[in-house]
Amino acid sequence: MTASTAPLTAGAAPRTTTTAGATGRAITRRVAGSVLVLWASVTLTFFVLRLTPGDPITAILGGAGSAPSEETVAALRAEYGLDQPVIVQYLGYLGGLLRGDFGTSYVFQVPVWDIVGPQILPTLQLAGLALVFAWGLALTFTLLTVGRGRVLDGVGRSVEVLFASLPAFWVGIMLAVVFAVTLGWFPVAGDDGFVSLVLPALSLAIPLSGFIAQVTRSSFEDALAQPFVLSARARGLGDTAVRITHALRHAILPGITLSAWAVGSLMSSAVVAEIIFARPGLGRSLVDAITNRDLPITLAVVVVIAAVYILVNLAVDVLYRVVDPRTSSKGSAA
Amino acid sequence: MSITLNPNSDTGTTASAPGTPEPPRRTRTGAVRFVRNTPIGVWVAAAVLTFLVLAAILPSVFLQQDPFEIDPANAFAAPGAGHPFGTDQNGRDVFSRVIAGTGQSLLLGLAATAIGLLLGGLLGITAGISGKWVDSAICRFVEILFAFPGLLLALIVIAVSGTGVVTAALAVGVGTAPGYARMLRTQTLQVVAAPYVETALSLGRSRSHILWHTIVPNVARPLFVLVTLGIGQAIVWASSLSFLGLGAQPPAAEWGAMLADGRNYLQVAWWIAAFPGIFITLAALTTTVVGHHLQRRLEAEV
Amino acid sequence: MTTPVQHPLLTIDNLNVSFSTPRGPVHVVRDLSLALAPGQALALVGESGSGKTVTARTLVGLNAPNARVTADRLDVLGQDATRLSERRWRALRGKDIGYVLQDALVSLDPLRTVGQEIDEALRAHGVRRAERQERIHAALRDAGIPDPEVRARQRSNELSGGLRQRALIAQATVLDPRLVIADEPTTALDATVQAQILDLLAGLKEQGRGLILISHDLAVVSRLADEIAVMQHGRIVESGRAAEVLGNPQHAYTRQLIDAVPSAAGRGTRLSSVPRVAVGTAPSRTSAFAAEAPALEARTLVKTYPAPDGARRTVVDHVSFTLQPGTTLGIVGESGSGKSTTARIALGLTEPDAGTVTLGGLSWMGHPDGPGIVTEAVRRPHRPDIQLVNQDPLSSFDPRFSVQRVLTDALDAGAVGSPHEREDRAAELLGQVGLPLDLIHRRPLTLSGGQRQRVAIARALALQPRVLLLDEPVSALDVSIQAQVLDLLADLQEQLHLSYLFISHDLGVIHHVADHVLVLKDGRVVESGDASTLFVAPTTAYTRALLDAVPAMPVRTSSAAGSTRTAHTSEGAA
Repeated sequence: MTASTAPLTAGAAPRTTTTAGATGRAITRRVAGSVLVLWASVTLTFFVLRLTPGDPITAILGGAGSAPSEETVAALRAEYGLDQPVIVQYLGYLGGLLRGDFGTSYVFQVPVWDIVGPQILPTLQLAGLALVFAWGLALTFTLLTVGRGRVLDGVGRSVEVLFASLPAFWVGIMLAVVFAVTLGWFPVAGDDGFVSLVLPALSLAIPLSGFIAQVTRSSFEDALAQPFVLSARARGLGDTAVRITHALRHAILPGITLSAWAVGSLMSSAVVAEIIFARPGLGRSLVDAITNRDLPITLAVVVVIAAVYILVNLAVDVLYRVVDPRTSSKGSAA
Repeated sequence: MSITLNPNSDTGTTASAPGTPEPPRRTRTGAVRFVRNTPIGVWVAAAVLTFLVLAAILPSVFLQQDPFEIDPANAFAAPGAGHPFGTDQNGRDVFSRVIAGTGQSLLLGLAATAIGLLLGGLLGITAGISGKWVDSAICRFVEILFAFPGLLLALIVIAVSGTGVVTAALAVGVGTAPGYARMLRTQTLQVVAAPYVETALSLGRSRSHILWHTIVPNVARPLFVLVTLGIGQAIVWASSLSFLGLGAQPPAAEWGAMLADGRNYLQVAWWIAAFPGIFITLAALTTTVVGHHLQRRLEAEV
Repeated sequence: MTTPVQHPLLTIDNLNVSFSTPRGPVHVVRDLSLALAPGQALALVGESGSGKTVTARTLVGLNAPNARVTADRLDVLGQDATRLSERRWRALRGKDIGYVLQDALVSLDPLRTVGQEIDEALRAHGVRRAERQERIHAALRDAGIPDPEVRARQRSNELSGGLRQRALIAQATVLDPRLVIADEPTTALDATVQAQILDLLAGLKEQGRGLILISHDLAVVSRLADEIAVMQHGRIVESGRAAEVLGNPQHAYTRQLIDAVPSAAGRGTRLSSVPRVAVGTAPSRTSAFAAEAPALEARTLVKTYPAPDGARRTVVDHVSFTLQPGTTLGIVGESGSGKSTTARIALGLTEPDAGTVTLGGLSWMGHPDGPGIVTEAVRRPHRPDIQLVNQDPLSSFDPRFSVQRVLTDALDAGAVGSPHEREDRAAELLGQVGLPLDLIHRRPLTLSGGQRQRVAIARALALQPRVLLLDEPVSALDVSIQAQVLDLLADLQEQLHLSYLFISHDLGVIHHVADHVLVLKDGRVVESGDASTLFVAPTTAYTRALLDAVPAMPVRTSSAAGSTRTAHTSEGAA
């Protein structure tokens, strides 16, 4: 028995109707914003990594053991542009980026892109398959257990919390012990097509599926409790039809946003799967670069992952506007 | 037969949800209600968590052997009597090492969560209570931090400050800070816009009084829940860093480092890697279950 | 009940519905009997928790899974509903029984168009694709929706409240059901729209359908129902022909419900049977508030908000009013009329673009005679003079606080007494609003709606205000609780000489409480004047339309002549 009027304290900002043109403008603004964020993240990383203690020359020369002459050091400094003021180095780096030049590795003394470039695809494959597995598991939990009695509901909930609590690296090791070492169904290590991708992807997907399922479960539950579901049932719709045509769509929406986060998270946590299963990949290069204090590679991997993440977020945002009509036309003729 | 319509007998205003009649007014005392409203799973989780905390504070109560004592003759002993979790490649008792690692792992998780909440809280609450310019400046900054997903921010911190336990805590703290900042900003904005804040203004309270006596305490209400929920993930993250060789270093009895160690002997002794992992899971699982429960209770109060 | 018909749509004898809960079964509907013939409208009337909605859900087989339904006889459209399989139910729902819920904004899927929602009903009952498009448009047209081809492609959030409710009715009636059940179909709507929807439902009845109308609002029901069944605590306490139940109620609860409806009955009459509160002597507070000046006076208030197209939308447009001390000024308007923004300006929370407000002769908001604006620092000492009670009191309480803390905190804000004195005064305030002392340590969340509203009033009184701003204070309450709160407000006004600015969408409430009335539409004052004249002889077409839209109750007669109804006096509530 609610009144027709909003309470006083809710404020009185008038609601608006936006048009397709406004949606286009919003997307343009969003793209411009993404470019800015990418630039800002490159800048931030560049300057933060400058704070690293120690002289890069030590890393270039292969550790503290060597005792180079003054001339060698000066020559190397000039070669890597380290004798320039930081701001000049920064502008030089930005200029290089625009040309696709990520600089030269301190440790390997070859162009960074030659090392990082080939790592991108394997990590993307791993992250992509892990996301597919995670969604598959999460949707299975949701459709099978939500709103199907207290027992199934409790089982679904418990499995989700358990999965979300599992550390990916431990899952990876246990999967390797059981399915690779003991049963021999999958290779223990390597990068050899789809078969070798299954266990690493699963080890990342299982914890992730717990997170996604928790979100889809709660929005699925919310949707099932909505009056429009009752309306649909009162029209003569059956349980399965209501779940699939009405509730599922509402449950997936927040999951889409979550997926953007998940891709980013997978890109960086892929490192544990890459190390356990001895796969090439960005995460592995990053950890190696951090250990070896190879700043150009560290910077390049960070920039690549941030760029992929920003791109995915942008894509998801645009996709969301298409899937959810409410975001594109927050209208009210009231 | 008379109908009494006294003010104490009315039935509440929220039209009861379909098919779910309002439960009868609870008259039991708080303690009984607390016990009855707490599911069995939460009790189990709380018990396990209590055990972990005890093991962290007083490991000697549970220790049977010196976790660092090397006994090559007894290497790779399978779980059984004397060594419930078996022994590792150096003949060290895995159970004792897992127990000894509890303190460091929990402390690492707690410290990381505290750092994350402190940084995130400073950014988020400041943004929430400040004007348009400060708010949008902080939002832009947090948005940039969000461009470094998952472990990436933590890895950048380690790239700068080197490996070790302290930097691992700092790294995970910084890595989780943007999430907390966003969460606490939303929370602050909600509190600032809440009608009870305007009510305080209408009663003639000054803005600084409202800030310190109404806004801040209400933003801080879910703090305990946030810590409980955050600690589990912080433990998983921190142990991941140790596993990668970027956090605690062997021979330290830290779960992630032990797991990394045991990975090399999977074919001969699965237990070296398995048990630390189970404990990481237990720590994350129990804090999450207890945290969710506290969260539900808190939400029921609002 | 009434004259027997050959093919009744519904025959129910001794229906019982209970829900199994962990704390044992909860009985929601008890021994309910009723019948419905084609072309008839039966209204189930009751307050929240009376079991009326559960009864309606039982008739479409859509109760929660933990519901237990038993009946001596439960014939729905000639079928024994206690034995219907889910499959058979599905065949009935939508096709033979149309079910219309409250508030179409959430009762239609926000992700799907209106056309898709209607199409779903057609598809579920096997209507061929070729026919469906035409039938969707026909259903929308029949529901009084212009441009059905356009509307079918829109979603519920793109429609106005009235069109939305029509679309909801269209999706329930597209298959031409013999029985239509409408659960609070007009509750969230403005009065003028409500009248249109009731006409639409009356049209359905005239086409020979049976109609079950669920409502808390006797006045709404009186406009449409042939028969009325009054429910309380899951039982029908009285039923019979509408005019007789309303005109000559037999059961005490029915009488109480009817008396509780605020209307032309006018001021001075009590709506509830609750004894008057005695305020006693409150410690007086010194204030610069001038007793002889108008309590609150607004002059040509203007407030605009930026619209997305860059223009500015005028929400409050040259609104002026004067609230004389000790009187009530009612502000009436439908949603979007600017009444809430006006209230926020009056309360000193929103700065107007132009215009001034004075409070007890003091400059309060906006630009006073000279340049410059009254600052918050100037306002703050006078804030206790004007206090707010809004529709949703719970949100106005700090969630950490108990009732006592809510009250002592308000007293603390006014620096009243020592902590100990504040506790005493809090207890006193609780008594003033008719609440028992044992509630003082409860949290507001655990209180009922009426009790919460009383606590909010007690807090508003804590600092001895001169003006209370009452923004829809009873709109969320059941009618009998609403009656008690309105009575309480009347008592307090009389004894404390308070001035009320009373905002409501409900003309009945305004008519009951107000001395003067201001009618707002689109931010402008359409009409204002004495309540006694304005309601009797409105001068503008808009006010007339508003008044006409109010469902009027038939005048209560005291003749108890030949009635066919049953007064279940033996089953009255305790």
